[in-house]
Amino acid sequence: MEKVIIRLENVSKKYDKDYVIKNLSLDIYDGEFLTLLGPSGCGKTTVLRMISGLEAVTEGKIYLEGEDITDVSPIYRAVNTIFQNFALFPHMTVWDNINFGLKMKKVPVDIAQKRIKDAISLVKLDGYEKRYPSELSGGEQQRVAIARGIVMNHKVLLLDESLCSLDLKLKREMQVELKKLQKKLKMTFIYVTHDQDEALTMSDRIAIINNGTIEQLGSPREIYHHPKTLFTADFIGESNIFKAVVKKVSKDIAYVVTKEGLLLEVDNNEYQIDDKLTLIVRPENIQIVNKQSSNTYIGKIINYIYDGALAKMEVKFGDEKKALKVTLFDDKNYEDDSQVYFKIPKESITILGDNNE
Amino acid sequence: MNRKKAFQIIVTLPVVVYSLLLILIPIVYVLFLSFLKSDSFGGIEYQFTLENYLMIFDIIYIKILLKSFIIGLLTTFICICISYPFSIFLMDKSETKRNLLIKLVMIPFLTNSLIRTYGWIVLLRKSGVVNTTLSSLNLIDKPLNLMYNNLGIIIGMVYTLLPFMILPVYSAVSKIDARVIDAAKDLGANKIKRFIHIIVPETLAGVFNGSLMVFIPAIGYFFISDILGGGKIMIVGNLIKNQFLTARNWPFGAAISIFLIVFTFLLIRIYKKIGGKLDELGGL
Amino acid sequence: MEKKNKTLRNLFIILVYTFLYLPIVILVVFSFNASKMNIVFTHFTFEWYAKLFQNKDLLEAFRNTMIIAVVSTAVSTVIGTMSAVVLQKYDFKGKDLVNKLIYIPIVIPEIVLGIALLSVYTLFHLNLGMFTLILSHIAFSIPFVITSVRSTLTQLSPTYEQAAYDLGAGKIRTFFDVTLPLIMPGVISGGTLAFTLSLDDVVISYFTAGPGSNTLPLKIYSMIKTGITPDVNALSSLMLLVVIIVLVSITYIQSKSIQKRGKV
Repeated sequence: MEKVIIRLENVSKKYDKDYVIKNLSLDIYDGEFLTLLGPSGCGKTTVLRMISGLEAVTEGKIYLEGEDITDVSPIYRAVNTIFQNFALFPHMTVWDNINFGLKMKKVPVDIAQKRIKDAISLVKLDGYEKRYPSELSGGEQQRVAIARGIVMNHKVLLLDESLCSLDLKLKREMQVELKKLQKKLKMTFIYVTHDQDEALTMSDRIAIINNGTIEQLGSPREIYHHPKTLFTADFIGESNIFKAVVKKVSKDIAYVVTKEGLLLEVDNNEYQIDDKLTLIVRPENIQIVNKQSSNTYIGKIINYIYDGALAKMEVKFGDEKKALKVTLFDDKNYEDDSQVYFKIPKESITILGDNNE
Repeated sequence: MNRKKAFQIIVTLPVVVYSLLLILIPIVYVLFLSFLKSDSFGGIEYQFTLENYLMIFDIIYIKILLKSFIIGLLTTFICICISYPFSIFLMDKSETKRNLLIKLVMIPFLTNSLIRTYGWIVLLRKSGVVNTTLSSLNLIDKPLNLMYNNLGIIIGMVYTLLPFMILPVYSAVSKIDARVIDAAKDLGANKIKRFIHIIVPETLAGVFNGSLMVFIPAIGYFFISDILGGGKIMIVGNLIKNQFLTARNWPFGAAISIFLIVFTFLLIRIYKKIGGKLDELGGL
Repeated sequence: MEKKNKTLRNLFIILVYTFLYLPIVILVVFSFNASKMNIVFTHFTFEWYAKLFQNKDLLEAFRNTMIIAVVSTAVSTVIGTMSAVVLQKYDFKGKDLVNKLIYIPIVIPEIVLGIALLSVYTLFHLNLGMFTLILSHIAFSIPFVITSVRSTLTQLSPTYEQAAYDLGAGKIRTFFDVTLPLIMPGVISGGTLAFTLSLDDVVISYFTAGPGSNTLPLKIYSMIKTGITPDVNALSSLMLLVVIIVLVSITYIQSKSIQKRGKV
């Protein structure tokens, strides 16, 4: 059993009369990289700010290593935040910025100096000590912000959309570096983002936040391949979503008919006839095949796009009102409007019960 | 929690005390004074009256008010006529040049206004620099009357208040997106049409800001009408000054002041209506 | 066509600057003029500058003006900065009223503030003199400092302060180590404005000065009526020089620190 470092217990946050966070409970383990992922306005930043103490909790408790810190001011909380735009003090040098928190904690100068030096070399900024933030690039500023947070030797670092102001290439580099750093320091990183790629690449676990509650919590793999709700399926990656009704059941297989009229075989999970199901299929799991077999239909390719690594297209079928999103990794060329057989493999269908609306 | 509250009270106190003691109470007291009777010896009788307000509508005072307003409006109008082309022409220059040129507008304004007004006496009087120069060039036979009249007052007012118009107008003009102007050109608007349809609407709040900062002082700057008007011409400023210092009819002076305050508030209302921000007033 | 246009435009700009600087240049030129009449330039002399230092009245007025300006600027910069921060951060009863009141000295005619202060000083039996002058100058300077500081304060992202709290800095520590350095440009320009307004003020000083407390503008005002001697030109030129030096050095220091620290 891993050690819980931060526990949120039925935490709620109310602005005026509206709940932004409703009854949220979450255990965060020591040394993990946890990402709070969700669309803007879902409350993920509020959760982070409640952990840092910059936002007061309306109801519920927050524990740090078993100690109730709900009412502890951010000034005294042993967690640090990397802000969205880094919030480096523009009137202080790199050194002074990193030193700021140590100065506040009255860490003896000789110890402070050593820690600052270590932090600076850890983020590879040796030689930049005397520069001002305005003389640094975006990536360098990011490193200073990280150094300023980790120099405090606290167990938890909170990162608020910390990479989103960087350009794409730099972002990719920093993702890798951030992950490496976290592994090396064995610190707990709590990362907030709306960028699913970022979340999938870096996290040990992802908490999908929607409307102030946790929609799903799990490893990137679980979240991607086994979405538990329609929201998660839709938010993470691309999906084809079908509404279907169970028509016939055998021992291992249930036969369902989708709203569009596709008859599909799916794994049976004690379904009854007339059960309403929601089926989710990732575009890369759909196959283009040569001959008809089970779960195979004919369709017409439209909007074919080839980007070197993979080919994206849509396949119209049935009464041609609906198109499937299909992603292929093979290098075979398809023309728009060509007729193909497409197969939806039984194993690749994720099924949600009818409780999903 | 208690210490926090105490700290908050201590740091809040100065601004509260200041605004009550040095703004609210003086103004309320003037309001109070304006409803009192004055005796013939410059004292105050504690008796309610509306007389002071009725007196403002006496033809002598109405004339002074009108005159001040006309001088104020003319000053404002001339300042606008200078500031618009000045700001627009300045946009041709590079940004560093523009910043320098705007600083240069402010420097004379930061020196003593009386000293500068005095400089105008040296320039404008009968035996002054302008007249001697003109006559030595044989352009005039006898010296022109450039001061001790309305012309002198308006020159002085425009001179003293011009920076207050240039700064907000320039800041409004410089905020206009150059691409918008280009788009208008592209769509076939000539200079005048661009001015009317783009520059004016975009800079309205700035111009009104400047107008407030020019017009309101212009009706009160008694020293300019004293010096360049030769003491013959009264504006509202002189009238109030006389009631307080010479005629010693404080209640009447107070009534005129209240009248000016109400008038000012009306102008501010309009300014806010057209989208002006209070914080930008008088911001230099 | 385009070229001719450009010349005309530049000519207009030059004319405006001529208008703005002509009286000042004339004053400076005549401060070196041997003739006592400010009419024709006869020949160059430093006589008036020498005379200036024997004119006790003028020097005393100058001294008073400087004392008032320095004291009122110091007080109004401190109170004004504090007020701007307090008005942004805290809610208290009557805050709306205070927020409205502080605009009054900026918008109403100076003369109204002048007579209002005079009335209240009389009401409270305060003797007119240096004290009432300083108080009055503080009264009209504070709002300008507040608006100037407020404009930098509203542009300041709250994350700087949050970052400071997050790193363990208390409220007061955060203010002096983080907030104040970041709003310094606003504080400095507010202070500069207060200083120059104080040096320049005629109207409010006119009503709130006492018999023994002449300021330079008041002194010049009375001299203009009785007859001005060129030593006033000399003094004006010197003050002009002081203002320009102060302005240039402030601009220089600011641009240097901006260069170094980058935009706040």
